[in-house]
Amino acid sequence: MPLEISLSTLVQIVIWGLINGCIYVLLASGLNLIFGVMKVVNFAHGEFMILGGYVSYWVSIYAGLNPYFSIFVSIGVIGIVGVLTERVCFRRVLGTSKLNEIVLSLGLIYVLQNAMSVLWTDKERQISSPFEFITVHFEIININMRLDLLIVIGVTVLIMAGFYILIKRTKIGRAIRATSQNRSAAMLMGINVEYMDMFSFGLGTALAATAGTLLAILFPALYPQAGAMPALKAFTIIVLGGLGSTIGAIVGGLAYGLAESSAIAILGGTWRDAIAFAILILVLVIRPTGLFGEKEA
Amino acid sequence: MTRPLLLSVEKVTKSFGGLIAVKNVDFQVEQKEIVGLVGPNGAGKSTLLKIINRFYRQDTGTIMFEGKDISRLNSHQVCRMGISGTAQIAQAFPDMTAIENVSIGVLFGKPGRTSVNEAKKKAVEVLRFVEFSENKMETLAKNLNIAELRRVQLAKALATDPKLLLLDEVTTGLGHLEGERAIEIIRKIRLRGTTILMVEHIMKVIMGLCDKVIVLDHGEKIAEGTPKEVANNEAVIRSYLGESSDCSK
Repeated sequence: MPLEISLSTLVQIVIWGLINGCIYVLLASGLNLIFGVMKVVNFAHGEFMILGGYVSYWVSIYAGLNPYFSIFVSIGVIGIVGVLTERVCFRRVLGTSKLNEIVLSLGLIYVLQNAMSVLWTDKERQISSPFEFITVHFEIININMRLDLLIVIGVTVLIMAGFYILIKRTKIGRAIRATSQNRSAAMLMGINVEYMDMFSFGLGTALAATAGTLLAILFPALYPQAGAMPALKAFTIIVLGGLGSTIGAIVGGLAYGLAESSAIAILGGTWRDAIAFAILILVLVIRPTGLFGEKEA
Repeated sequence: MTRPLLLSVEKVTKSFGGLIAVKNVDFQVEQKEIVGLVGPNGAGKSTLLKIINRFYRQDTGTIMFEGKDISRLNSHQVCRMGISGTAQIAQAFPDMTAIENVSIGVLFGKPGRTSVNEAKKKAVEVLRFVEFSENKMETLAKNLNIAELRRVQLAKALATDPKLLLLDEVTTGLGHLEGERAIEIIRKIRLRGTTILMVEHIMKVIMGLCDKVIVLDHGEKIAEGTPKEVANNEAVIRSYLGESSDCSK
């Protein structure tokens, strides 16, 4: 095991950490939004992500749309699927019992996975990017980088900036924050909280769809079961960042991406998934409320 | 003295499990009136307020507001129609500043469109009206003390421009001075012409403020009248005021 790390290896670790981090940030932010407003953990979040990837895959093949623009179609479609899922499934069980909510979202995992198997088979697919073979050379650090990697980082920054502004600056963002901070007070202040549930679930799954599309552009990683592990990691990240904290989800996602790529480089690929839960356990033991979470009053 | 009717509660009953919290209660609130709802602990006062603001659903009975049946509406709908209030335990959005808390009421609690900036201005105005300290305007609600939170909560309710203000024990948990100031603020609200339905257990507060008092005991209405009439009502004295001491409290 080489303990000395060259500069180019270090740069590689950072770049791949950021790339994976982008996917995790998008996924975790959506999961966090849904949890914040509805206090429901959507275990099927990864399946919405993969479904979003497939929608983009179809759109880019059949409509010939640039995959980066197909993200918008995917956001729309998965947003609507999310809204319907909330309206038809979650609203019925919300507040009845935590167990019902868990069983429902676990059930959704398999319904969605099977539906995707039927539509797209279990073959691993990739969305082909028009920039697939273009690389950018960075003189100073002497490294070649796929252009797509840079675009993915750029797209993530744009989407997260838009999301952040929506939450912090707009009227509906205020309603979302109010509902997640005190649901009954929000209700009594004239906010239609059921509408907020629907909107947040749709927005959360739309963010997952973006993650799925970007993932499928970068790697041949689009298959019906591919969402399970990333979703579990996104869950780890929101616990890590402090449940309900938007900044926590962003910093947590990037930090997790970097930790993962370091682990792969230093310990080997086998450790990729174990690292997530090692970190989770460590943080929970040291700081049970998460890194950015509230201390109990 | 007849004024137009604002709220009419008709034969409302609510039970939790086997326990009947409100039983067949009837009463009316006229416009610009201040009505006090009194009774011993567990008499169903707060429950009744929460049925009016639609936090709870009644089992049977009807609630009419401005001639419209609101018995099947949700909290956010009646809030926009003009029913708003404060809860016994101050409710706030902990990670928002005092101004942000109040601006939520301006933005969502009443019909019509308001921009975020206008809402902020209005929020500051309302916070000043309830005499909230100027240097805590930008403080997060989680860092405010109980008296301050109470004011924020009252400001939030007033920010929705309510026609009917429901107040649940505004003086409870406050020190003597803070309590006095809270009562002064209620007088100020009354001068604006807002109708108020308030739950209060301190008789002195009720006596000084209310036009009409309704007494509940074990979920049932046992008396109704002017504060003076109620204070001399035998059933009331027996069930609520006890021997004599509470009257002078």
